[in-house]
Amino acid sequence: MISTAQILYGTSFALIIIGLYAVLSQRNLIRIVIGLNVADVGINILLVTLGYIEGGRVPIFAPGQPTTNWVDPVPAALVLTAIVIGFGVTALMLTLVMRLYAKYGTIDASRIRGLKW
Amino acid sequence: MVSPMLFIIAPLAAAFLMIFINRRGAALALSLLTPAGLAILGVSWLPATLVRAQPIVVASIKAPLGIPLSLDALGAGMAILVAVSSVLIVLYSSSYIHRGHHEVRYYAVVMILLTSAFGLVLTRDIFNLFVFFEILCISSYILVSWEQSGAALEASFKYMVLGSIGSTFLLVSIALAYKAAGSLAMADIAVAFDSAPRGYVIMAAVTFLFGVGVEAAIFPVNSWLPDAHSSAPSSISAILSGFVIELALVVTFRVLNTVFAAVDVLPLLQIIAIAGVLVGEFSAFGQKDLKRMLAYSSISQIGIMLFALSLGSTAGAQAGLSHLLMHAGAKSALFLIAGYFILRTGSRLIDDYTGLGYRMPVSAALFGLAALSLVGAPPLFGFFTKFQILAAAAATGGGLAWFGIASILSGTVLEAVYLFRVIRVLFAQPAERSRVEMDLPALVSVALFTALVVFGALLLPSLSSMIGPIADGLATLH
Repeated sequence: MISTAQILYGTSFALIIIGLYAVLSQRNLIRIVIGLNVADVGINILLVTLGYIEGGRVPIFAPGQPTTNWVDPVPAALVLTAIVIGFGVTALMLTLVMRLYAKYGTIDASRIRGLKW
Repeated sequence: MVSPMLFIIAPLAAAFLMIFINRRGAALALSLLTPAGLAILGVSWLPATLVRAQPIVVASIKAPLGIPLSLDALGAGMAILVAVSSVLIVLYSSSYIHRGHHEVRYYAVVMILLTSAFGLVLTRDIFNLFVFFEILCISSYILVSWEQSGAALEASFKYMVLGSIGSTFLLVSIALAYKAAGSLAMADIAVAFDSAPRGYVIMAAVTFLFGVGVEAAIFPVNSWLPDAHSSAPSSISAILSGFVIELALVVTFRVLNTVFAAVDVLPLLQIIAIAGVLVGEFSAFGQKDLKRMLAYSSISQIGIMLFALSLGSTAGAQAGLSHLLMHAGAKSALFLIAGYFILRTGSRLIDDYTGLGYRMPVSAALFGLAALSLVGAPPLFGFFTKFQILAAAAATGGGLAWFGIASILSGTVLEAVYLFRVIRVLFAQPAERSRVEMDLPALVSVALFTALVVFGALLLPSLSSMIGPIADGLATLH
C-alpha cells in the first residue's frame, strides 16, 4: 500500500525534474520562467510533506484540544517564506523578459545574442 | 558594545530611509556612513571574537526556537572587509554612476546587498542562510541589469535562471537536512548527519554545493559570471568580484566543512578548484574585452582560494584567507579602473585603449600595480599570499596537491601574459595626449584599494596574530 506521503514525495520530485527539464530545454523565456515555477512548487510540496503525519492535527493551541499528533509547523513556515521569495523572483524575471522583449522584439532565447547556454 | 545585530538592521534601515527621503545627498551620506560605522563596529568586536565567538540573541528568543546567529573572528573579519570595500565602492559610485532619478535606488539596492552579505556571515541557521542567499542573489540580479542595455539584461536573466536553479537545489538540501535532524540549526544538523546514512549525507552535501556554488562561482556552475560581471556597471562588478563571490565561497566552504563534516568533500572541492583555475585562466587568455578578461580571472582566483581552503590544513586555510583579502583589493581596483577606461573611451575592447596610459597616467599606473599584485609579482601582497598557498600545498603533499601547484603556476604564467598585454597596450604610442584622469572621489577610492595590495605585505605580521582564530572559523560553528 502506497502511503500519502510517498505519493507526495513522488509528485514533488517529478515536478522538480519536469521544471528543471523545462528550464534547460525550452527556448521561450516565458516558458523558462514557468519551468522554474513548476520546480518551485515541487520544492514546496517536498517541504510540506516533511512535516506531514498520517492523520495529524493542525498545530494550534486551543482549550480542550489535545496537544498530541500535530503535524510539524516548521516546514509550513519555510514554505511560506519560499513562496514569497519565489513570487519576488518570478516578478523580477518577468520584468526582465519584458525589457528584453522591448529591446529585441522577441522572447526566443536562441534569437537573443548572448542567451545561449 | 553595540549589538552585532546592527550589521543586519543598519543597512536595511538605511536602504528604506533613503528611498523615503529620495535625495541624492541623503542617499550618498547614508550609504557612506552606514558601512563606515559598521566597519568601526566590526573592528570594535574583533578583539572579543578573536578570543571566543560571540553568540547573538535576537529578541531574547534562545536557540531551539529562535534563529541562532553568531559573530566569530571569521565573521568579524569578513564583515570588516565587506564594510570597508563598500565604503570605497560607494565613494567611487558617487562620481561613476551617472546622475538621474534612479540613482537613489541604486544606493538602496547596494545597502540591501550589504544586509544579506552581513547576514550570511552571522547566521548559524541553514534556512536563514537560504533567505540571505536569496536576498544577495536578487539584489545582484537587479544591480547587474542596472544599465538596462541589451547585454546587461541578458546577463541578468541568465544569472537569474542559474541562480534560481541553484536555490532549488539548496532547498532540496535543506529539506534533506531537516528530515534528518528535525531542526534547522547548523549545529543540530551536523550532529544528526554524523549518524545518518552516508549516501543520504552525500546527496545533501552535493545538492548544497551546487545550490550555493552558483553564487560562489564554483567551477561547473559559474557560466553566468563572465556575462554578469562584465555587463554590470563597473562599481557593481567590483562589489560582485571583490567580496560577494568570496563571501559566498567562505560561507559555502564553512557549511560543507562543518555541517557536512560526516562526508569528506575536500578531494572533490580540490578537483573543482583546479578545474576552475585552469578553465578561468585559459578563457581569460583569449578575451578581447577587458571586463570579461577580469571576470574570467576572478573564476580562476576563486579556484585558487578554494584550492587553498580545501587543502584541509591550517596553513592552507590561512593562506587562502590572506589571498582572499588580496584578491578583494586587487580585483576591486582593476574593475573600478576598467570602469573609467570604458567611460573615457566608450569601448570595452582592450585594443581601443592604445596609449590610454598617457592620458590617464595615474589610473594606468594603479592598474599596473593591482595587476602585478594579482599575478604575484615579488614585493607586492599577491606574491606573499600565492607563495603561502603554494607552500601550504607542498607541505600537504599528495598527487592532487602537486597537480594543483602545477596548475596555479601555469595559470600564473598565463595571467601574467594577458595582464601585461593590457599594460603594453595602455602604454603604446598615444594618438592624442589630452588628460582625462579619473574624477577625484573615484581616484581616491581606487588608490586606497591599490594601497591595500601594494602595502598589504606590511600587514602580514599583524595579520598573522589574527589569522589563526579567523581561519578556525572555517572549521567550527560557534
